[in-house]
Amino acid sequence: MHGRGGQGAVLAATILASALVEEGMCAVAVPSFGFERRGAPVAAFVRTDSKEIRQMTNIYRPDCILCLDPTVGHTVNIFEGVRAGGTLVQTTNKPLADLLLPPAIATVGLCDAVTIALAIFRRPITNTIMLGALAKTTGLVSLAALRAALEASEFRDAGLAQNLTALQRGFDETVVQHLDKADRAA
Amino acid sequence: MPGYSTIAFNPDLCDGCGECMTVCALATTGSTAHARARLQIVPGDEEGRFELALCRQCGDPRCVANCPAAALTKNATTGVIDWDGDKCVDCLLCTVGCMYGGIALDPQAHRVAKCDMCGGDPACTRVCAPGALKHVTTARIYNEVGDLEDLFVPGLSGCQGCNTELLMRHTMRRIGPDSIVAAPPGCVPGMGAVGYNGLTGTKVPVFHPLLTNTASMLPGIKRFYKRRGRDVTAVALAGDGGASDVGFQSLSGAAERGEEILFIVIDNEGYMNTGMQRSSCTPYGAWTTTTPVGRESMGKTQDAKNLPLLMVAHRCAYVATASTAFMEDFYAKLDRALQASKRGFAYLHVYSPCTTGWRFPAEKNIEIARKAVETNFVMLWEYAPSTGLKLTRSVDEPAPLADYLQALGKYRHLAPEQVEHIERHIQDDVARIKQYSVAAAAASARVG
Amino acid sequence: MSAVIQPRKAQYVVCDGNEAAALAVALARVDMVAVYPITPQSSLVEYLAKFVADGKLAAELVDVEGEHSVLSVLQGAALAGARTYTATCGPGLAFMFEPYIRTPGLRLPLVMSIVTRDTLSPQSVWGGHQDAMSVREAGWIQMYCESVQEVLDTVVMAYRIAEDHNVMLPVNVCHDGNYLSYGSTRIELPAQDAVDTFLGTPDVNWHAALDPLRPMAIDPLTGGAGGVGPALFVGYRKGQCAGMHNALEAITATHQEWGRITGRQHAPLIEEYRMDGAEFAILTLGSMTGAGKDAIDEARTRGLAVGLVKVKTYRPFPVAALAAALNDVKAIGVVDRSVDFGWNCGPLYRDTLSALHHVAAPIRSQSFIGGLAGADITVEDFGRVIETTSALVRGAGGATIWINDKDRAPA
Repeated sequence: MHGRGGQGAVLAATILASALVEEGMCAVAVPSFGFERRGAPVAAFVRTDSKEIRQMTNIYRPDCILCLDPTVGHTVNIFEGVRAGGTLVQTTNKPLADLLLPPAIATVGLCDAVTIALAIFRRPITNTIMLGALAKTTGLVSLAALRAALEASEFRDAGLAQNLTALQRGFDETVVQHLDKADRAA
Repeated sequence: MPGYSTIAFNPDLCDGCGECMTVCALATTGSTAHARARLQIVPGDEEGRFELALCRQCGDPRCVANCPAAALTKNATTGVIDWDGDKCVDCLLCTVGCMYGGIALDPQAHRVAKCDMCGGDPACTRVCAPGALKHVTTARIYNEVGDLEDLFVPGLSGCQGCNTELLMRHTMRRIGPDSIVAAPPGCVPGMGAVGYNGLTGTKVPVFHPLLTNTASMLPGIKRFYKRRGRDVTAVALAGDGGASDVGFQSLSGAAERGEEILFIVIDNEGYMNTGMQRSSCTPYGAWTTTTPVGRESMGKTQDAKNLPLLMVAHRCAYVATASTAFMEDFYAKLDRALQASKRGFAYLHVYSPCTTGWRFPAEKNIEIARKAVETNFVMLWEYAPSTGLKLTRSVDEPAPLADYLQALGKYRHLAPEQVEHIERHIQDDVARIKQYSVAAAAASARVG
Repeated sequence: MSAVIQPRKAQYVVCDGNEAAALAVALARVDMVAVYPITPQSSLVEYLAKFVADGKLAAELVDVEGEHSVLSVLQGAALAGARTYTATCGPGLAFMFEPYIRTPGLRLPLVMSIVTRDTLSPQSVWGGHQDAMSVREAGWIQMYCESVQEVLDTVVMAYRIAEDHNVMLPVNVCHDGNYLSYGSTRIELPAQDAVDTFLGTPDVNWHAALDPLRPMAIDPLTGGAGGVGPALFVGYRKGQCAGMHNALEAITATHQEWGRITGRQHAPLIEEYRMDGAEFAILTLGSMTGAGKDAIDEARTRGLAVGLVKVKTYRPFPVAALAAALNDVKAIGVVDRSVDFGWNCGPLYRDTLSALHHVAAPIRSQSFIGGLAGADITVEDFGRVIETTSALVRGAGGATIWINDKDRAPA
């Protein structure tokens, strides 16, 4: 998961791990921290498996990249180490054709999360929207499990309602596209 | 046996104005004739000096022994020797017995008359402008705390004439046994208060905090007892070094949090226990073993940190300065500090001359302590957030600074310009403290 | 996550190591917590403050002005009879050192998490064991956790170990900054009743109290040649050593009892992983162990006779257990997350070599140092550690190998 400080990448990773646990999976979320400044690139890693996960380490060969910010990709190589046939879930208001993707990416979920976030929160906090986008794109986790995880989190009252809306809109408004080999070659 | 108040006379201050005789005569007879007054100011052997004839209310009075009619009796409650006119046979044997001229014939009444202390508030002492006559009431301290237990064992190994030992015995006697004493490294444990090799010199729970953490260990104790509903007084008996230097962070933190403890700093102006090194409370110019006097240096080159004023800046529940030369003042402040420690941080700063480290004879300790106050070298005041800072002893007309500096070996080397520096510093301090106290008085007048 | 501790039933929550430690403190019904925030411990004290604010933890919370006072407040509280907790790391631990080194001598059963962080300089805010290692000779019990679950379980167990009348020593529960402090996973939260029974009522100042009802002097001057002082002092020191020695048994018994109650059997002193028939072994400490175990599994698949020994209890050092575990191997590779300056190897490596004096045959050895300042030690890194150590079986070890010294930013 790539984002910028303040967007909630770390919280999103924890909520995703909780949702996966809710689904009966094992999950570990490990955020990488620097000096915690708003706007600085931030990464967090989530592993999931049906059996116990012992590694408490970062991820260097991701199957899926969740990018909470439209421009952080200019600063860090978010595609570093991605496995062939990988998935990208990206915050953007651009069409697929405008994105520069490595050949390893086979599935893309695009969501204009910043616009949605500004409508719901009046601030560009994209994390829960993009969890909805992840659910839509990958099917790795259900919307119901994510909802349950949000309800068990520190969100309360209006904040919880907003985030549940964000989750739903992220799911509903994500466009998922499967790239065939020819597309990727181009 | 209780102690009693008394009228003290200082012939050095008496100018022979006779005002005391006027008010005495008026109060006792309704006339203003000096001859009828029960105290007599009479010219001394030397030109311009005066002596006093007044009943001393003796403990073993000759007048009473001489009286054949039992008309004179020592009153065990007031300490006054009462005269009963109904029993008196006017034989005047009592006047023969008294060597102070304390009982004499009233020329108008043709009977003996003597001082009855005006029932406890003598008129003469109130009108004595030069301050030669003083109503001394310190005996009340003895009456109030005399029966309380000394919470330190006899034979602590303090230096001969140690002011700190005097102070801690008085303090803990007053505070009582439901208390816990923190004695950080320094003179207090140095004389065996915490103890040596399994033996201790203190009858209440006592411990060695670090030099640095007295003000944080005590709140841990206090807060836990408070949680458990127990009222335990947590007292620090700390030195100025541990409080103003390396322990200042924890002191400041505890004061900011309003920890309910009583923090007493015994300020002997340096690390006297470990061989007289300077602290930030050491005054300018003072010799210490780390601010020595040599060809290139003449003692400490910085002024002392004003720790009690820094504590005022923390808006503690109570802050006061005190001196063992003014025990009534000290006891009053100790009582207020104790009360304040039930609701917040209470801080008491006691100036404590050190016979060993300051280089003066042991028997002069209280005299030095008094001179420090009388010269304004240190000032006695108290502070509470509701009242602001208040001087508890006038700073007008101080005694000459030389009286104080010249009495101490640690200032023996001072050059005239160093003395001037100290004088300027004192003037600054006096002006600042007065400014605070005037501002506080004005504020309370507005509120009132 | 907003976990609620249930009185009578265990439940699952997803949380990170810092929250797990805070939950353990609530479960242990600690009387007094003193805190000062420092990265990467800060969220732990924020959780504690929140728990107190929400009424989940009925403790006195003292927000003091620095770590030095943190431990001082708790020493005072413990002398008055309180069960206490705090957490710190790195520069905070260094600042705390004066009261820290005094605590074991006072025989106060404080529990303190070290959310391990590398020491300055260079300036760093990331994980590494250098802070905890720098105080390993101070007389505290030190245990290192591998997982978030083990953080929770060990903090609870630490109270029973520390307060054991045959031990009466303070305990550091070390969990790795970054990987465990912020790493989240599912853990089981035991029921409150079970923990209450397991820990019992605190009895921490039976031996040394500041209490007007039991007046005594705490810590009179002791020592000085030519009297009873030195003998008294030696008596106190020997007492500390006896406490350390007894701790080995108390730690083992406590882990067994905890396993009986919760079904979770954490290895108390050392954990032996796939050591059956191992020709050589890798030694680990803390959160790196999970990746190490995965690497062992891979190596075993490739036919290498390698096992892993995780050291959980670092002080007291489990000499006998380690000597027994390594008795039959020919070589060891020890992975440390800190440096033993002067020896210029890892501290666990040096301690292990000392323990191996108790082993009959000489063992070849290699020190690896990795994971400094937040660096990751991955399964691939362990793969290289295993390869290098495997070669040792037939050759001599060399100078310390630095795992991350060739790490580069991705292109």
